Amino acid sequence: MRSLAAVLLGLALALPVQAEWVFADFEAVSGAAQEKLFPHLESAGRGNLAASGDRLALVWEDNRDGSPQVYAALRTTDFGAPLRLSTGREAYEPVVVGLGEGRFLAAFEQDGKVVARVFSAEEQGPINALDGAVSAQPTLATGSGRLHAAWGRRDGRFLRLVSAPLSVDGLKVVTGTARAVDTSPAQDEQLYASLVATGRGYALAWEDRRAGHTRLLTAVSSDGAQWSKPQPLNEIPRSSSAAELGLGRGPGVTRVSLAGDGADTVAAVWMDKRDFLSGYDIYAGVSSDGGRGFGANEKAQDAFAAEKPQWHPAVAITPHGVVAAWDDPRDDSPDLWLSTRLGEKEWSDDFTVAGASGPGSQDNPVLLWHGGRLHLAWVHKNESAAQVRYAQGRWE
Amino acid sequence: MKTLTRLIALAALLSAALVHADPPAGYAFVPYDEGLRQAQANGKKIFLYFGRYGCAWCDKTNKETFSDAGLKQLYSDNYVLVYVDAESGTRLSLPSGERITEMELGARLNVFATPVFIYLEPDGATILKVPGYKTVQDFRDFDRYVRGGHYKEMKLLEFLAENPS
Repeated sequence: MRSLAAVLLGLALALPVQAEWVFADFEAVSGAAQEKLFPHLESAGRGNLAASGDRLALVWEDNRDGSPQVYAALRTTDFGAPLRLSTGREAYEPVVVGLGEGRFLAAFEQDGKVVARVFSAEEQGPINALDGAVSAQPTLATGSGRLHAAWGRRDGRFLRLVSAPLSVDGLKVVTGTARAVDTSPAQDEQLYASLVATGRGYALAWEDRRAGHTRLLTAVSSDGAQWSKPQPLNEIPRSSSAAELGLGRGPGVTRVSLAGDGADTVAAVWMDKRDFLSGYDIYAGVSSDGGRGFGANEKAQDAFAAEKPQWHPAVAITPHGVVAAWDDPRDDSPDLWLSTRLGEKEWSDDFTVAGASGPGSQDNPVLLWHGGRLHLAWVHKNESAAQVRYAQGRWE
Repeated sequence: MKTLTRLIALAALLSAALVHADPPAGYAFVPYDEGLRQAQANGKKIFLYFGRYGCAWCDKTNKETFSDAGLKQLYSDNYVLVYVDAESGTRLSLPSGERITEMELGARLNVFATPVFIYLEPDGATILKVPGYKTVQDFRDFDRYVRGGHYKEMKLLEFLAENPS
């Protein structure tokens, strides 16, 4: 018997240990859940989380002051009380980047125009308009001392994507010249862009309706001023029953999010309805050349929720693989689900996070890899109240 | 020559608009929150059309079904007509006071495909949800089921089995 136990113990020690993401208990970010409080973690590229020095910032929108406004909470070991960042009648879709030494820059839509504000735990700068025209859906990127923004500017009937360099002088944001990303005439909407800094400049992805249906396009720039010719990101099935009937223009794709490692790796995730009978699925593309090419599309989710629609994808690049997060109602109500890219076209089984599944709904995830931790935030709702929650994971 | 160029440009714009699977022409579709307000004011039920830009089956439904003059009259007279672009960031207000995007409304109503047609009570409660391309007769059957109040007593398929077209 002893020898059998020794053999089993030896076998157990000899087997490779399968590492996995292990998440700590969740923390409430937006304060206590309250009736009639409606927090939203929505933004272009799902860029609601950033790190700066030893601090983490999460930005969201809610109606605690009687109208939709933008708030931030800062964390060292715990989240502090929410700071209100917006100052207008209403504000939406905030994104944030770290500026170093505990300072952050948030950008959001306020009263129909894109604005930005520097903030830290100690102080906030003035509201700075990034655009005097009607504008929305900002996205920010920072890296190697550079700071850049892109957003949708109203041009006639359509939002048209523009980008501009930013600099920060103390608490003031200085906006450089905003230029159209694609210089061809505005013919239809360009929406919900996601911008990242790379070792070679910037990579950008967005929704583009100029083909009569939504396509996802990408472009790169070494300086943020001139962008490469847009390239398609999502693959369109060569044949479909609808196409054969001469109907429609293409399958639905929407809400692309990018993450970068600051060097050459850029990952994209999006919602894709190429299999239209079961709603959106989560697809991904990974670039190893700073966003010039994303290779073949990969399905990030596993087959267990194939019959359910997936929503709100977010992405992070970690040393342990690209991680995608989204929500879906495979267990009747929305829960967060994550998947790790194990290799080319190979993703892990979907897994969920304690505290981000179960009773109520858990949706709208945002992700950030920083300081050896995978930072995850989402919106939790039950029948009467909602709050923003956060948990961090380790690979072990 | 300028006039000709303008006419060609206008024709191109109109033909582009026709294939985008926006709401069918000639129907008085309104945004979701406006529709709820109208329905509560006039007591009509709501016919909610979830479409998508470039959606093939929306395109087919618009061309082959909503082009029927009798159907247009029936639905225009008896429903508040609401159209939602299932991928849009356009904001709307829910009766709770919450502001969400049209796409988020789709997520919450589990609109997994387009088109999806949802019949709602004037207070926004769901009566019937039907996905996919539908014929003129389908919509006439749904109307009989909904406006006749039969949904309170039986499932749609039971109703259609007992009361065929």
